[in-house]
Amino acid sequence: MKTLSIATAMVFGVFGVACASGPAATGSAVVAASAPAAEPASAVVGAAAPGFSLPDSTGKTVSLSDYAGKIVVLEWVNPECPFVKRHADAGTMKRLAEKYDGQVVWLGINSSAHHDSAANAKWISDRSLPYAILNDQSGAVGRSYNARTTPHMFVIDASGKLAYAGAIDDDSNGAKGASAVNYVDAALAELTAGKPVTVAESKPYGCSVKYAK
Amino acid sequence: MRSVCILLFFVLAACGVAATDRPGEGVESQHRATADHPVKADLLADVSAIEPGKPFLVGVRLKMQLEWHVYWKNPGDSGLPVTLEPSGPAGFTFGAMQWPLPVEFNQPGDIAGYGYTGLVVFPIEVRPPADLSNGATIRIAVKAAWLACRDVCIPGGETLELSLPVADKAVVSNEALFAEWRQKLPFEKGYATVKSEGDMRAGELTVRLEWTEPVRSVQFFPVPEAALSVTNVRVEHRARVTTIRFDAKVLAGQKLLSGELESLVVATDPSGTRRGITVPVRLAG
Repeated sequence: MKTLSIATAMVFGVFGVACASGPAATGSAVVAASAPAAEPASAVVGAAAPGFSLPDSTGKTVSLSDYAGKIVVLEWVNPECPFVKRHADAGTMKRLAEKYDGQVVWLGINSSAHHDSAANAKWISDRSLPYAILNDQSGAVGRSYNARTTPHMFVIDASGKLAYAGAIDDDSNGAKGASAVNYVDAALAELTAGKPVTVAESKPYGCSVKYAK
Repeated sequence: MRSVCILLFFVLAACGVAATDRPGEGVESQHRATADHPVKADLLADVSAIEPGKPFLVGVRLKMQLEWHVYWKNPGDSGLPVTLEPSGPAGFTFGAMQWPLPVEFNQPGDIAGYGYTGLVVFPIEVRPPADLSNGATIRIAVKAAWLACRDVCIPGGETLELSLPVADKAVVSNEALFAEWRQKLPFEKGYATVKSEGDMRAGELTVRLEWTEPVRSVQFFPVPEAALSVTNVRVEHRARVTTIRFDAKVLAGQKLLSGELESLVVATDPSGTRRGITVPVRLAG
């Protein structure tokens, strides 16, 4: 398990993905030098975003390829997570999705093993969310993006490349108020103006994604 | 940056962690100082009477229910550090919160978490002024906030208070408890000689440690600032020599604030005790 975890870290390390997710596992004791070469499609800023097809809360299949040519935001969600609730209370995601409505496609993804589409539908209805939440109970899509936390944000540009990966903002404890820098807003402002994204990576914060054990 | 972050959180914890506004949560939203919160907090001192001008320690003790944890100053891939904000009468000053050696949690999906399970005591030095009047009662308060996680996370927090009389001579108290937790703080140095090599341009850094005695179960706990990513940590260890390698990278579009990576290396000594040393790793070539 440890070897696998290090191997995973190595795979991500090679592709520079884990940089968006803070430190990898600490090594303990002696680690085998050889790492299995298994590697799923993984998300790397600047490279093509991994494709996916997942059901939304109404059962309709949503694929990333449906939005070819569009800017897409992926928001990892867990309705039980205090960080997600804090942003829902503050309207952070909803406001941003509405601000760029028509220019940007916003998709929530829930990789919690114990949340089915009904749980996602309830969250959408409870919080009057203007966007779909996709069911990734198997965690396969979450793992391909190396989604570590809820929220963990990814912005895909119109050419299908990953343009931003990381936190929603620089305010992990929710104490900065109006002085917080919203990285996703900044990335979307740049992309919709035809500019490259300046801050393309940050460390996500939040609850760990509750992947299947 | 991490320390700035922590400091900031420290200060703002006073306003209450905003993550606590959680309507529709019933039990969970009533977490503050209630009987059903998975973490119980209290405040202790290593004296039962304060001597004017003589520093003493207070300790915030968190007792966690089985399976729950709270987070170290680098929480890992998720979570939030515990924050403590001490206060006292005019003239009292406080040292920084001291962090006992963390453990690593296994979270599904290879998500690293660093922190504490079971029981932890965070000592803080209190420096009283020299002009206290004998017989006065001094009230020390510490505003504590934490995120407790198991399969779900619940924020918690409480203002803990302690009243102590002033006397000619300090009266020692809770001696064994504070001695025990002092042992669990990192050493600045002395338990190993440390050399760090490599630089950020190469993307890989190496730390070599030669221990004063044979140790085992060596673990590396980095505290990277917000702009720095530390990944792919590999620890190789034989008896007295440990080599730690990791990839270090500045996140795209961000700037490093420090030329040094703060880190902690923990090893188990021949008697089975975990001991830790702080290891600053130079990032510049």
